[in-house]
Amino acid sequence: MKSLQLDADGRLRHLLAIDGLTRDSLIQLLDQAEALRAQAARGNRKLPLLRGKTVANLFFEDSTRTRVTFQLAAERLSADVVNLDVARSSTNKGESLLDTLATLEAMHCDLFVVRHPQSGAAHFIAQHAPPSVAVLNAGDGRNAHPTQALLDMFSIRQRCGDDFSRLCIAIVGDITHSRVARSDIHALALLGVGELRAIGPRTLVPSQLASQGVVIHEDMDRGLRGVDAVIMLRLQRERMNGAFLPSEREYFQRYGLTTERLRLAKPDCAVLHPGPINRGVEIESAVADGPQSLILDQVSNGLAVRMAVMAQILGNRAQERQR
Amino acid sequence: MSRWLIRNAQLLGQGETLDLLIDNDRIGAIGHQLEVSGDSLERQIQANGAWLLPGLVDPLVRLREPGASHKATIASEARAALAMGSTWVGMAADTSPPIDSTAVVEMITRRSAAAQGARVLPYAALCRPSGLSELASLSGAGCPLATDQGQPIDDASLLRRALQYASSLDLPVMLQPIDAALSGDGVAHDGEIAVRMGLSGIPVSAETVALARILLLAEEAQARVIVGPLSSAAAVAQLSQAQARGVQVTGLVSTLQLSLNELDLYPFVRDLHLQPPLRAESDRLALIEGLRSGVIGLLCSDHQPHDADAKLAPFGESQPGASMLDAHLGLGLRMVLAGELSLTQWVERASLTARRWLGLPQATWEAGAEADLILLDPNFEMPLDSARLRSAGHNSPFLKRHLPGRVLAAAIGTHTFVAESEQ
Repeated sequence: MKSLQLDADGRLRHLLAIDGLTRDSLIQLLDQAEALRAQAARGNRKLPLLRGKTVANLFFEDSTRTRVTFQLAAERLSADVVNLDVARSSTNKGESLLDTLATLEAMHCDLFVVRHPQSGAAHFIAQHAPPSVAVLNAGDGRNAHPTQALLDMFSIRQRCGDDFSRLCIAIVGDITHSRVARSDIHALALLGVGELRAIGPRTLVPSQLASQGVVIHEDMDRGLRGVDAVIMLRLQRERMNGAFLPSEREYFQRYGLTTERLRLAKPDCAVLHPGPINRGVEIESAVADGPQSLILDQVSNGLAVRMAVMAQILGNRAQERQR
Repeated sequence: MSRWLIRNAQLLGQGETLDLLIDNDRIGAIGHQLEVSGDSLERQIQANGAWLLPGLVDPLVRLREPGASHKATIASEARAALAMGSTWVGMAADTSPPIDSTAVVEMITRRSAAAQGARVLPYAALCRPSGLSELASLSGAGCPLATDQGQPIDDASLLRRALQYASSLDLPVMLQPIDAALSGDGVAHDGEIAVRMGLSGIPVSAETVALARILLLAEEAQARVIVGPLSSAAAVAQLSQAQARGVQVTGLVSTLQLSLNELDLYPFVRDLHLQPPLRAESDRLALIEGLRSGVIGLLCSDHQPHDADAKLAPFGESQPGASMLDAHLGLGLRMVLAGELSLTQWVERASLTARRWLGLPQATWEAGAEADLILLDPNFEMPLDSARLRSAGHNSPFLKRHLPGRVLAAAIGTHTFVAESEQ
């Protein structure tokens, strides 16, 4: 994947996954997001970086929230935005996926923001897109959701400082089906996290994670002890085509993040969630809305991170053309 | 074909060089420096020590005809197989229509004869939607075995009766050990790579649970059974135990499974979307050991040619299977050259054992025997180039990779192949 998303000088051409990025390229993205956020705070909300560029949001899977943040990010950079909500039913074969791309190419789009239910779809599109088009993965199947991982890292860095080696971080819930978890795990590894834990029932946590240095806990209370930040995953009911869990009630009993449970972690433990949250299924409202929650910071940080990614990919390409 | 003379070939690669005269469809003479009048010869090939081997028998291929001739045809694949050293290929029954009537068998036999390539052995579908197939008629029409390849039988009771019925006809059965429920919507080995890439996994138990069922039912029915293509170390162990208690069973493995592992899927190599999937390196090594010890008796290509559109989709939506006729011989030979298999073991697993299971003539080198042989230059190596692929399926995972071996000539009866360099 490395060769496809980085150019010969190691600069970002596409963003397909955290897997394959370098630590430097990741930190560079976080730093640029920080700078953009500071500019916005100074009232500089619209920047001319992508003037004259066209960004196409290609969503083969419904997600209004994510699409809107990408749209807003592109507009804040002065790009033109095309939104295509491609219903799964009309394009469920690769041939028509490529036909859709061909149509957009003919409209001279510069960047495809892609969400697709199949793992590897963004990689597939980057392979088949013409060299002039960049691809930004907004979530593909269970594989990757790199901008979510970037904004999680950004939010953790904001709260806990930039030395990740001192941190113990836990990811809780349905890891098997989660692209967020996969991207977070790669990002935390790149940043040299001190300890990474995965907490969840055996049906939702792949044992092979241990080979990536992740410590697996089936007991939530034990897994939370001493944790600096906890990333709660959404229980993806739409992915549950089998009986992975007996009931939401029992899941909440064993793995729901309650005020009481959160006391087992470090006193100022940060709580993250990619949203939308299922109150009372994976997290208690008092925690989601409480002082330790970063959930709303994540949303606003998401905008800065997505702006940074777009500016960097299209900026690198402009430089490439000039040379 | 009329008369050919092959000069200075190593019979079975054993050092000593011999000359071989092929007279029409038969071996005319074999010996040192045969004296043959040049006038009557259509062709003379200087083998320069190339190996003379019995034709390979590839016991599991898809030819895509009838039903999907936009992917490949009997003619294209039978010619490709012969050019790549297989004189016989066994064809899975999952065509459309499937091989469950004598009319389909006759059609395949006719087209195979016209193709002038490898001889095609149509396998009978073990079952059809209504239940058991007419195995006696199909066997009479020329099917050497019955199989469920491509459509593993889910109903244990039906499988039990099918094995009893085939056993009563003394017809061997080839079964694919895949448990549909455990395999589910999986597209990769449920291991390191599936976790890393977020692909839905196929656990090893999808193979072992189905295999355990097959072995118990075959034992009870006293059927002769080939199981595979296999993918896991656990399956090799199960098979070995069954053989030790007297079950008449052997394993089948593809050269592809012996050559690559799950990590080769990274990043989303669609030509390696396979069923069964490539598994861990320890599985690959156990399969090689199983082949060496003889627990696995049969080496196949598991050739599954596709048209370009079939693979033009994200990994999980691309159709599984790899086009393997062009790499099958090279991968086997590479194991011999690397010392993973002896030449004798390779010939045994890639040709002779399948001949016994399929009731084919054993290769002999006596004058008067039907020609069923290949002349192989083992010292040749070059990358597999898409322009030179012989199969109509270009979905080969080995494109651009170096593979050893070149078939200089091949003959099965009157069907022959001669490399361009020798023409």
